[in-house]
Amino acid sequence: MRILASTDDSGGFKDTSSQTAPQPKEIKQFNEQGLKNRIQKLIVHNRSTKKIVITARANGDINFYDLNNEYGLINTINNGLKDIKDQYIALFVINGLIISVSQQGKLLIIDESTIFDKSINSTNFEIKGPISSFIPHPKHFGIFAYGGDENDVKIIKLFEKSSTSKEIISNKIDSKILFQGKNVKNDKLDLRVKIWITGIIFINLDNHTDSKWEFLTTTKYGQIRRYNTSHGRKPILDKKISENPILNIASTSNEGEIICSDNKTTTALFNASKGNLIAKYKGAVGAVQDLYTDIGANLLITGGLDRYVRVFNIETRETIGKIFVGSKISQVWLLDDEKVEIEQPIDEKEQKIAAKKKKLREIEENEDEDEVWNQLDQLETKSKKRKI
Amino acid sequence: MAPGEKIKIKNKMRRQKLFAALKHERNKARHTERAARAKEEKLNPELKQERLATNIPDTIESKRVFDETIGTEFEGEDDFSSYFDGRAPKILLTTNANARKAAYEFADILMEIFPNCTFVKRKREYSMKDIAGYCNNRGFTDLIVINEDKKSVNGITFIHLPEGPTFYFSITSLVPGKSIKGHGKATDHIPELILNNFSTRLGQTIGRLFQSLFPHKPEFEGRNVVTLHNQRDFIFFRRHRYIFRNEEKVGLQELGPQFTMKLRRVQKGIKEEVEWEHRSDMDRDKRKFYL
Repeated sequence: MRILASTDDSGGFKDTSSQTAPQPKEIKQFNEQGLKNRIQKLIVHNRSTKKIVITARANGDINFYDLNNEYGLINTINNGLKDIKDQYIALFVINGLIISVSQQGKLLIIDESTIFDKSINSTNFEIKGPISSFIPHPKHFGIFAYGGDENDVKIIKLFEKSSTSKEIISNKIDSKILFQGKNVKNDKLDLRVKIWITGIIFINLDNHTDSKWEFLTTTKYGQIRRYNTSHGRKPILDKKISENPILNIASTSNEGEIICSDNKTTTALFNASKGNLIAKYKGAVGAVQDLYTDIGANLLITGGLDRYVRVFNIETRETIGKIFVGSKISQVWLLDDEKVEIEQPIDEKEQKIAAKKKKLREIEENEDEDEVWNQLDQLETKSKKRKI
Repeated sequence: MAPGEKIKIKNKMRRQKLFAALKHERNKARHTERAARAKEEKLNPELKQERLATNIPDTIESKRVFDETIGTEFEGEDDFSSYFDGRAPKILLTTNANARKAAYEFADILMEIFPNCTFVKRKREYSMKDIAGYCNNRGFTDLIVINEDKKSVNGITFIHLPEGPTFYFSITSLVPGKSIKGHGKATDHIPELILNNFSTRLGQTIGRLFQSLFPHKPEFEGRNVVTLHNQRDFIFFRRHRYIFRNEEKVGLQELGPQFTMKLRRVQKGIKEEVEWEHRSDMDRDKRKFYL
């Protein structure tokens, strides 16, 4: 198994080749640029024969690295952020376009075919911030969903289905809001419920049409909400599942289940239709910063502030791997899940000897304890009864 | 005693007496044996060395559960890096809202320990995040908040500025300097700092926190030492003055205070995501330590 993890402290990313052993065969660090230029978003893009690592850094740089060539730098582009305080909240590749989104609502759209050229073709677009989550529709090209702090969930259309990446970049982008969420009813005390969308995920993709979508959102206030756009603008399910902010959401192979993690140590599997807890993925000591699910291999990979990458089996929930990376982790990505046979580090002989020693020690200890009582027993039988 | 076994002496007091006598005998035997061994070893010191080398008792520390983060190299930068570039610490000290006498007394003690420290009385209307913001505007590097509950100090929060992290420790066994027998009077020299046993990656972070609270260059003429000794995740705070009496002997005078801290929580930023939090089930395995 090979996992890529971007590290905060050193501002690079690490390639861990591992498995079945408690610690990986090797961890290699690449492209360190320090805490100030730490990686906020990292993805791996398969480009015909090449695999390209794309990173969005805190200083606004978007770097392209060649995975097959020792992560050598291919190119850099820098105008994805509005100002110093701004940060990247999304980075994805869709239909030959690389799109980055910043918290304050700046979109940078890059033509993927030009990343090897001297000047990269790109264009900017702005939507109303602040944004905490921005995702593309997995099937309908040009449709996106986003939301953030006091910015209720919206579905927008940025491009026409048929448009090519060249057309998109050269022409002016026209956004059209197709759906806008409406806040839930006031609470018991008739106070307005605050909005802060932290994660969005499209569900039941087979039922989607050009004007009907189903999706889930998570909020900073611990709620999970389910929307069906044919059932009005309010969510059809609104449930508080946690006292803590939910920060990450990931889909699983089962459409009815999702994985969420909060700002403490909980990572858990939830039922998407009812919003109830099914199971927890235990082990994390610090908040999880990124969830990555591999549906084919049924794996969940988490990386967080405790400096460990953890690999879970989604169904059985057992920890398959726990790798100490040495730096806070912001993003994780599974490169491949092939198992690597690693020699048993401890000799069987040594183990046997250790077990024998332990047994002997235990026997000795038990004898010591019993001795006092045996002696007492003897004394008691010896002592004469007083004559009356 | 096994439940099926018959008790031969039925009078409990007599039975206890018998048991005490047996114990006494065993103790006496042990003492004579030790005395004899000591005599023998005094004549032949090699024997003692040999015995000490072979007979190593098991301790909780030696049985410590393997932790892969021990002894790893410190990697990259963290939020304390700016201090290590040479910026002098400037500390703001305050208490919880509505604090009582104990908190102010402890604040007095801390004012003596940390150089360049300002105390501000806590106002109800400002949260810790607000205060951190005001401190940032005024160039403070650290914010310390004392927590008092039921008339005793029970916790302390350290917030490293400008961007965290935040640490919360519980405090126990607080003994002010005055109650320590033979205590000395502290001077305002910048103390030397001794950090013991901060070995894991989390421990390193804690070590760097305490380092960043004291100015880089200690004033050696003051001969003051602050010790933070970590043992089984308890951090013991002690302060001494030393003197070199001759080439072999060193004299120590305790200045006080003494207190014990235990790490409860580390948060990223100013009280944001949890980096590490103590849970009660962490205490289940007595051989697992986190610092």
